[in-house]
Amino acid sequence: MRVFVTEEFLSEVKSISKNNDHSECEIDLINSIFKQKIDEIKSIGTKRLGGHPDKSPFLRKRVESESSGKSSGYRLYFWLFIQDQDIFLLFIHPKTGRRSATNITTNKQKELVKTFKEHRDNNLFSEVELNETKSHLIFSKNKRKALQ
Amino acid sequence: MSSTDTISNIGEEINQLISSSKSESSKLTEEEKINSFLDRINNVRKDLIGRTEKIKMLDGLFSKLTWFEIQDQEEEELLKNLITEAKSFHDFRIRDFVSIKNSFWKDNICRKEISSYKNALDDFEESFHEVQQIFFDLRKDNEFNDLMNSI
Repeated sequence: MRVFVTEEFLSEVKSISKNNDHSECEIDLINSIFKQKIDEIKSIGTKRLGGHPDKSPFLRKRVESESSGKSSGYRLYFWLFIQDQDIFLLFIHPKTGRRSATNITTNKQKELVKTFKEHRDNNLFSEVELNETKSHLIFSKNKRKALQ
Repeated sequence: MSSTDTISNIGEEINQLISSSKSESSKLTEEEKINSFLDRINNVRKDLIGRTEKIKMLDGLFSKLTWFEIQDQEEEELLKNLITEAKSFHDFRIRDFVSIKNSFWKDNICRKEISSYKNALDDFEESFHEVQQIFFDLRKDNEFNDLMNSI
Protein backbone atom coordinates (compact mmCIF):
# COMPACT_ATOMS: atom_id res chain seq x y z
CA MET A 1 0.00 0.00 0.00
CA ARG A 2 1.31 3.46 -0.95
CA VAL A 3 0.16 6.65 0.74
CA PHE A 4 0.34 10.10 -0.83
CA VAL A 5 -0.29 13.50 0.72
CA THR A 6 -0.69 17.11 -0.30
CA GLU A 7 1.13 19.99 1.34
CA GLU A 8 -2.23 21.28 2.56
CA PHE A 9 -2.85 17.99 4.30
CA LEU A 10 0.48 18.00 6.13
CA SER A 11 -0.01 21.62 7.11
CA GLU A 12 -3.46 20.77 8.51
CA VAL A 13 -2.07 17.90 10.58
CA LYS A 14 0.64 20.17 11.98
CA SER A 15 -1.91 22.81 12.93
CA ILE A 16 -4.24 20.28 14.53
CA SER A 17 -1.36 18.74 16.50
CA LYS A 18 -0.63 22.06 18.21
CA ASN A 19 -3.81 21.61 20.23
CA ASN A 20 -3.20 19.54 23.37
CA ASP A 21 -6.31 17.46 22.75
CA HIS A 22 -5.02 16.42 19.34
CA SER A 23 -1.29 16.31 19.93
CA GLU A 24 -1.30 12.61 18.96
CA CYS A 25 -2.80 13.25 15.54
CA GLU A 26 0.15 11.71 13.71
CA ILE A 27 -0.06 8.52 15.79
CA ASP A 28 -3.83 8.40 15.28
CA LEU A 29 -3.31 8.63 11.52
CA ILE A 30 -0.65 5.93 11.62
CA ASN A 31 -2.96 3.62 13.55
CA SER A 32 -6.00 4.19 11.40
CA ILE A 33 -4.41 4.22 7.95
CA PHE A 34 -0.82 3.01 7.86
CA LYS A 35 -1.33 0.03 10.14
CA GLN A 36 -4.58 -1.08 8.52
CA LYS A 37 -5.48 -3.15 5.51
CA ILE A 38 -7.39 -1.60 2.62
CA ASP A 39 -10.58 -3.48 3.52
CA GLU A 40 -10.42 -2.20 7.09
CA ILE A 41 -9.78 1.35 5.94
CA LYS A 42 -12.79 1.08 3.64
CA SER A 43 -15.20 -0.46 6.07
CA ILE A 44 -14.72 0.99 9.54
CA GLY A 45 -16.50 4.32 9.98
CA THR A 46 -16.07 5.16 6.30
CA LYS A 47 -18.60 6.74 3.97
CA ARG A 48 -18.32 7.03 0.22
CA LEU A 49 -18.84 10.55 -1.06
CA GLY A 50 -18.48 9.56 -4.69
CA GLY A 51 -16.36 7.63 -7.16
CA HIS A 52 -16.63 4.00 -8.17
CA PRO A 53 -17.21 1.91 -5.04
CA ASP A 54 -15.02 -1.00 -6.20
CA LYS A 55 -12.32 0.92 -8.04
CA SER A 56 -11.67 4.46 -6.89
CA PRO A 57 -13.97 5.73 -4.13
CA PHE A 58 -13.66 9.23 -2.69
CA LEU A 59 -14.11 8.70 1.05
CA ARG A 60 -14.64 10.30 4.42
CA LYS A 61 -13.53 8.35 7.46
CA ARG A 62 -13.87 8.75 11.19
CA VAL A 63 -10.43 8.43 12.69
CA GLU A 64 -10.29 7.37 16.28
CA SER A 65 -8.28 9.43 18.71
CA GLU A 66 -6.08 7.48 21.12
CA SER A 67 -6.62 10.04 23.80
CA SER A 68 -10.26 10.95 23.51
CA GLY A 69 -12.23 8.26 21.69
CA LYS A 70 -13.75 8.04 18.27
CA SER A 71 -16.36 10.72 18.71
CA SER A 72 -13.72 13.26 19.58
CA GLY A 73 -11.39 12.07 16.88
CA TYR A 74 -10.94 13.34 13.34
CA ARG A 75 -12.66 13.28 10.02
CA LEU A 76 -10.38 12.31 7.16
CA TYR A 77 -11.04 12.86 3.45
CA PHE A 78 -9.13 10.74 0.99
CA TRP A 79 -9.15 8.96 -2.30
CA LEU A 80 -8.57 5.25 -2.55
CA PHE A 81 -7.44 3.39 -5.66
CA ILE A 82 -8.25 -0.15 -4.73
CA GLN A 83 -6.45 -2.10 -7.44
CA ASP A 84 -3.16 -0.21 -7.03
CA GLN A 85 -3.67 0.04 -3.25
CA ASP A 86 -2.90 3.76 -3.38
CA ILE A 87 -4.33 6.21 -0.86
CA PHE A 88 -4.35 9.96 -1.42
CA LEU A 89 -4.89 11.88 1.82
CA LEU A 90 -6.51 15.23 1.10
CA PHE A 91 -7.92 16.83 4.22
CA ILE A 92 -8.41 16.23 7.91
CA HIS A 93 -10.21 18.09 10.65
CA PRO A 94 -10.87 17.31 14.30
CA LYS A 95 -14.42 16.66 15.35
CA THR A 96 -14.15 18.97 18.33
CA GLY A 97 -12.22 22.12 19.10
CA ARG A 98 -11.44 25.31 17.26
CA ARG A 99 -10.54 23.67 13.94
CA SER A 100 -13.52 21.34 13.98
CA ALA A 101 -16.32 21.12 11.48
CA THR A 102 -18.68 18.20 11.94
CA ASN A 103 -19.42 18.10 8.27
CA ILE A 104 -17.57 20.18 5.70
CA THR A 105 -19.64 21.86 3.00
CA THR A 106 -20.42 20.59 -0.47
CA ASN A 107 -18.24 23.38 -1.86
CA LYS A 108 -15.26 22.27 0.23
CA GLN A 109 -15.81 18.69 -0.89
CA LYS A 110 -15.80 19.85 -4.52
CA GLU A 111 -12.60 21.77 -3.82
CA LEU A 112 -11.04 18.55 -2.57
CA VAL A 113 -11.91 16.79 -5.82
CA LYS A 114 -10.31 19.67 -7.73
CA THR A 115 -7.24 19.48 -5.47
CA PHE A 116 -6.94 15.78 -6.10
CA LYS A 117 -7.23 16.20 -9.87
CA GLU A 118 -4.76 19.08 -9.96
CA HIS A 119 -2.20 17.26 -7.81
CA ARG A 120 -2.54 14.03 -9.74
CA ASP A 121 -2.38 15.69 -13.17
CA ASN A 122 0.67 17.76 -12.19
CA ASN A 123 2.38 15.06 -10.16
CA LEU A 124 2.31 17.18 -6.99
CA PHE A 125 1.55 14.48 -4.44
CA SER A 126 4.31 13.40 -2.06
CA GLU A 127 4.57 9.79 -1.04
CA VAL A 128 4.96 9.15 2.69
CA GLU A 129 5.73 6.03 4.69
CA LEU A 130 6.48 4.99 8.25
CA ASN A 131 9.94 5.33 9.73
CA GLU A 132 11.73 2.26 11.09
CA THR A 133 10.11 2.46 14.50
CA LYS A 134 6.70 3.05 12.89
CA SER A 135 6.19 6.13 15.02
CA HIS A 136 6.54 8.91 12.43
CA LEU A 137 5.67 9.67 8.86
CA ILE A 138 8.62 10.25 6.58
CA PHE A 139 8.82 11.28 2.93
CA SER A 140 9.64 8.22 0.84
CA LYS A 141 11.91 10.28 -1.40
CA ASN A 142 14.38 11.71 1.12
CA LYS A 143 13.38 9.89 4.37
CA ARG A 144 12.91 13.18 6.18
CA LYS A 145 10.14 13.55 8.76
CA ALA A 146 6.98 14.70 7.03
CA LEU A 147 5.55 16.52 10.03
CA GLN A 148 8.47 18.48 11.41
CA MET B 1 -49.66 -37.04 67.85
CA SER B 2 -46.83 -38.13 70.19
CA SER B 3 -46.84 -38.05 73.96
CA THR B 4 -44.41 -35.16 74.01
CA ASP B 5 -46.80 -33.01 72.02
CA THR B 6 -48.38 -30.50 74.26
CA ILE B 7 -49.87 -27.11 73.50
CA SER B 8 -46.90 -25.64 75.24
CA ASN B 9 -44.38 -27.56 73.11
CA ILE B 10 -46.18 -26.76 69.91
CA GLY B 11 -46.48 -23.17 71.02
CA GLU B 12 -42.76 -23.08 71.66
CA GLU B 13 -42.08 -24.42 68.20
CA ILE B 14 -44.43 -21.87 66.67
CA ASN B 15 -42.72 -19.05 68.54
CA GLN B 16 -39.28 -20.27 67.50
CA LEU B 17 -40.34 -20.50 63.89
CA ILE B 18 -41.89 -17.03 63.90
CA SER B 19 -38.90 -15.64 65.70
CA SER B 20 -36.43 -17.21 63.32
CA SER B 21 -38.56 -16.19 60.36
CA LYS B 22 -38.65 -12.65 61.66
CA SER B 23 -34.89 -12.36 61.94
CA GLU B 24 -34.44 -14.13 58.60
CA SER B 25 -37.02 -11.89 57.06
CA SER B 26 -35.36 -8.74 58.28
CA LYS B 27 -31.93 -9.97 57.07
CA LEU B 28 -33.37 -10.74 53.66
CA THR B 29 -34.97 -7.38 53.45
CA GLU B 30 -31.64 -5.68 53.97
CA GLU B 31 -30.01 -7.91 51.41
CA GLU B 32 -32.89 -7.47 49.09
CA LYS B 33 -32.57 -3.74 49.34
CA ILE B 34 -28.90 -3.87 48.40
CA ASN B 35 -29.44 -6.53 45.77
CA SER B 36 -32.32 -4.70 44.29
CA PHE B 37 -30.24 -1.51 44.11
CA LEU B 38 -27.30 -3.34 42.54
CA ASP B 39 -29.60 -5.22 40.20
CA ARG B 40 -31.09 -1.96 39.10
CA ILE B 41 -27.67 -0.46 38.39
CA ASN B 42 -26.66 -3.58 36.49
CA ASN B 43 -29.87 -3.48 34.52
CA VAL B 44 -29.36 0.18 33.69
CA ARG B 45 -25.78 -0.58 32.63
CA LYS B 46 -26.84 -3.54 30.46
CA ASP B 47 -29.67 -1.52 29.01
CA LEU B 48 -27.37 1.38 28.14
CA ILE B 49 -24.79 -0.94 26.56
CA GLY B 50 -27.56 -2.58 24.53
CA ARG B 51 -28.95 0.75 23.39
CA THR B 52 -25.48 2.01 22.49
CA GLU B 53 -24.76 -1.12 20.45
CA LYS B 54 -28.02 -0.72 18.55
CA ILE B 55 -27.25 2.93 17.79
CA LYS B 56 -23.78 1.92 16.57
CA MET B 57 -25.33 -0.72 14.34
CA LEU B 58 -27.68 1.90 12.91
CA ASP B 59 -24.72 4.21 12.38
CA GLY B 60 -22.86 1.44 10.51
CA LEU B 61 -25.89 0.74 8.34
CA PHE B 62 -26.18 4.40 7.40
CA SER B 63 -22.48 4.40 6.43
CA LYS B 64 -23.14 1.30 4.32
CA LEU B 65 -25.88 3.09 2.40
CA THR B 66 -23.31 5.46 0.91
CA TRP B 67 -21.66 2.61 -0.96
CA PHE B 68 -24.75 2.39 -3.16
CA GLU B 69 -26.27 4.69 -5.74
CA ILE B 70 -29.96 5.56 -5.87
CA GLN B 71 -31.36 3.58 -8.81
CA ASP B 72 -34.88 4.95 -9.11
CA GLN B 73 -37.60 7.12 -7.56
CA GLU B 74 -38.68 4.32 -5.25
CA GLU B 75 -35.19 4.04 -3.74
CA GLU B 76 -35.00 7.79 -3.36
CA GLU B 77 -38.28 7.82 -1.44
CA LEU B 78 -37.11 4.93 0.69
CA LEU B 79 -33.92 6.76 1.55
CA LYS B 80 -35.82 9.96 2.41
CA ASN B 81 -38.11 7.98 4.68
CA LEU B 82 -35.15 6.29 6.37
CA ILE B 83 -33.56 9.66 7.09
CA THR B 84 -36.85 11.02 8.46
CA GLU B 85 -37.21 7.92 10.64
CA ALA B 86 -33.62 8.28 11.81
CA LYS B 87 -34.16 11.93 12.79
CA SER B 88 -37.30 11.11 14.71
CA PHE B 89 -35.63 8.14 16.42
CA HIS B 90 -32.63 10.27 17.32
CA ASP B 91 -34.88 12.97 18.85
CA PHE B 92 -36.64 10.32 20.89
CA ARG B 93 -33.36 8.82 22.08
CA ILE B 94 -31.93 12.22 22.98
CA ARG B 95 -34.89 12.83 25.29
CA ASP B 96 -34.30 9.37 26.69
CA PHE B 97 -30.62 10.20 27.19
CA VAL B 98 -31.45 13.42 29.05
CA SER B 99 -33.80 11.54 31.35
CA ILE B 100 -31.20 8.83 32.04
CA LYS B 101 -28.48 11.39 32.65
CA ASN B 102 -30.67 13.36 35.03
CA SER B 103 -31.43 10.22 37.00
CA PHE B 104 -27.96 8.74 37.33
CA TRP B 105 -25.15 11.15 36.45
CA LYS B 106 -25.12 13.13 39.69
CA ASP B 107 -24.82 9.92 41.70
CA ASN B 108 -21.86 8.75 39.60
CA ILE B 109 -23.80 5.78 38.33
CA CYS B 110 -22.94 4.32 34.89
CA ARG B 111 -21.17 7.48 33.77
CA LYS B 112 -18.95 5.64 31.29
CA GLU B 113 -21.97 3.95 29.71
CA ILE B 114 -23.96 7.20 29.64
CA SER B 115 -21.08 8.97 27.86
CA SER B 116 -20.73 6.14 25.34
CA TYR B 117 -24.46 6.28 24.70
CA LYS B 118 -24.24 10.02 24.00
CA ASN B 119 -21.19 9.58 21.75
CA ALA B 120 -23.01 6.90 19.77
CA LEU B 121 -26.05 9.18 19.43
CA ASP B 122 -23.83 12.04 18.22
CA ASP B 123 -22.11 9.81 15.66
CA PHE B 124 -25.47 8.52 14.50
CA GLU B 125 -26.81 12.05 14.08
CA GLU B 126 -23.71 12.98 12.12
CA SER B 127 -24.22 9.91 9.93
CA PHE B 128 -27.78 10.47 8.84
CA HIS B 129 -27.13 14.16 8.22
CA GLU B 130 -24.15 13.19 6.13
CA VAL B 131 -26.08 10.57 4.19
CA GLN B 132 -28.65 13.23 3.41
CA GLN B 133 -25.93 15.62 2.26
CA ILE B 134 -24.16 12.99 0.15
CA PHE B 135 -27.26 11.72 -1.67
CA PHE B 136 -29.40 14.82 -1.95
CA ASP B 137 -26.82 17.57 -2.22
CA LEU B 138 -23.36 16.42 -3.25
CA ARG B 139 -24.29 13.67 -5.71
CA LYS B 140 -26.98 15.86 -7.28
CA ASP B 141 -24.50 18.67 -7.84
CA ASN B 142 -23.64 18.94 -11.55
CA GLU B 143 -20.21 20.43 -10.93
CA PHE B 144 -19.34 17.62 -8.52
CA ASN B 145 -20.50 15.00 -11.02
CA ASP B 146 -18.55 16.63 -13.86
CA LEU B 147 -15.45 16.70 -11.67
CA MET B 148 -15.91 13.07 -10.68
CA ASN B 149 -16.29 12.07 -14.33
CA SER B 150 -13.03 13.82 -15.13
CA ILE B 151 -11.05 11.74 -12.64
